[in-house]
Amino acid sequence: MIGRRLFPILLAVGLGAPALAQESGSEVSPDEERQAQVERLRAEIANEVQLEAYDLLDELVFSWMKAPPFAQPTPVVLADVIVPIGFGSGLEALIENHLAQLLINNPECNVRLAHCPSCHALIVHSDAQGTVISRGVDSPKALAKVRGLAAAEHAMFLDFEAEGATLVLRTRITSLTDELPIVHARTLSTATLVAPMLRSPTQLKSAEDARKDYMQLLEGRGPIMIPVRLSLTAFAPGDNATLSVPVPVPWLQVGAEMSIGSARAWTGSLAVGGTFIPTVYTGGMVQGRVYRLLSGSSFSLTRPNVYVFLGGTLAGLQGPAAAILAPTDDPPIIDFLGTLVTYPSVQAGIELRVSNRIIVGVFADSMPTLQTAQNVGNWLDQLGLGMDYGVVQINSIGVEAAFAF
Amino acid sequence: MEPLFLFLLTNLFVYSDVANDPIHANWEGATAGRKYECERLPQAEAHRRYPGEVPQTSAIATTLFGVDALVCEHRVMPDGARSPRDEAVLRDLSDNVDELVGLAAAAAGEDTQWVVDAYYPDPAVVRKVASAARVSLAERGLPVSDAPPQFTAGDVEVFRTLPMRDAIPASCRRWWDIRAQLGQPLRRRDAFLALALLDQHESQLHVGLCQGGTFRWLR
Repeated sequence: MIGRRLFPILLAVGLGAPALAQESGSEVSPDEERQAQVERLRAEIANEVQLEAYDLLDELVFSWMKAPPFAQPTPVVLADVIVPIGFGSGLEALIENHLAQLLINNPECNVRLAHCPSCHALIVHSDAQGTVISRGVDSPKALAKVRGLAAAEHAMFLDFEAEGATLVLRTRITSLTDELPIVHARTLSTATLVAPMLRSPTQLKSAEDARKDYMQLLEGRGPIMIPVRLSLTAFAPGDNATLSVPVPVPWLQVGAEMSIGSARAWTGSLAVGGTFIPTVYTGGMVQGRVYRLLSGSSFSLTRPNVYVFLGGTLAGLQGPAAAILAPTDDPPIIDFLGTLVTYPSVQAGIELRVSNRIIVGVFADSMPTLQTAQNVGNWLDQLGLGMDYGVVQINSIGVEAAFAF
Repeated sequence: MEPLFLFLLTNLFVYSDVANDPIHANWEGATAGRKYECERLPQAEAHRRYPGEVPQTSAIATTLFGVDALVCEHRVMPDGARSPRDEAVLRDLSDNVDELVGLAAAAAGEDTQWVVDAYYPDPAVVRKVASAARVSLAERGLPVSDAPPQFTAGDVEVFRTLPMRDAIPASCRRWWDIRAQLGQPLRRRDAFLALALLDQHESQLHVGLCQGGTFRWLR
């Protein structure tokens, strides 16, 4: 009974809810919607702008270390930090703190930040010529009466602006005298900086040196790398297999990998490997691969990189277990050491590399000469799609882990 | 199935190039495309600027193909973050202001003491334009004051009633008169540089020069 009474109410609420939501949504004014959109955009770009602004400040203070704007340590009040139009005061505070840190850590630039509350305060000054209402830094005559002689004699203005794809910093230092002459001015742009300019505040360096470091970092990775790789492959079970489980083959490989350019978008490797299971089999292989970076246009020093590769392998297994991999129409060579099976394969796979040191990957092999072997099948058939894949067969799959030197 | 699989496999190595080609930003639509600022560079210059991403020039490739690079960067401020007029003025602020200041510096001659003011509907942009002009003058080694020209409250009220095209020449005459009234040194070469937007619907800054109480538009 209760259920029958509740049902129409729930139905009404259920049907009405979207309408109510729509109605309440329509109360958002276009201005509020625009404001919300702007806030989202600000959040997206705030971090990037902050780092670029820090780069520009680093470059500014470094230039002052090399050519100080004053001959002696001089107190300067930071009068204004103006961030790009569209940003809020949070960024101003971060910039102010970073500049203070730089100036404290690098006293040789002869700019000492001074605390001057009356410089920022609104001052009303009257004399025979009239009444002036202004900030302290804009009215030095009035400021001199308020603060005495102890405070800063200069004011610094930092103005950041986003111009297209670059961030521009305009700096000016003004002498706090009647004429307010600009005694130092500098414009810096991210377009003129090199990418890795974010430097330690205690070890600032020039753009040229930072670029040199960057190039050394790129070249220091070296065109050649020596990977030591452990892989485990498993043959697909054949249709008329005499084995109940697929044959696993572990390989230990060592080789050399060479990149074509510093971007490391294309690399190639040549490796030799061996495998040994006592009383079961002994094997050797030669493998060549070509790698292509998928996760960007250049190798990242900070993020994991994803490569795909295509390669060819010539492998041989010898021992009692090798006989079970032999193709039925091509009897294996049998010598005094036992059965020898050799087979070429074409390989494709994907690798994840962290710092170009740790590598993990998966791959698939197609082995044309083993496709008639009783104990070698096609992993694609295991999918059960009932399709004819023709010459495209995945006879073996594997995982690998490597450490590169 | 088999030809399709082989086709996909043989193209495996070019997927990354396709995915990273900035030209495909157009797939995202015109709005997304406008986020980018693109520049076409010779390969040698692109390698100099982006050594980790663009390889060195190869003699063979240069002879055969004439390789270049399309460098696309996201604009710092995406579309919609500021008003279209502000964005149009600020996007090329350095270039535009440097050009206008160059005109004024050439017209004013040497030994000029400068004051600068800007006229724009938004006070935040006024500060940006005036700051850019002051720094540009100072970087040329010219003596420039950080103080804007001084006017009385009554003057400002009158200027507000005039169209911008008339208000700025009027402010030039008052600037000269007030300096005389305040007993400030009057040198005929001292200049008041005005950067202004004359119409609410335009996005091109104009420049005018006031010297000796006489105003002239330079552009």
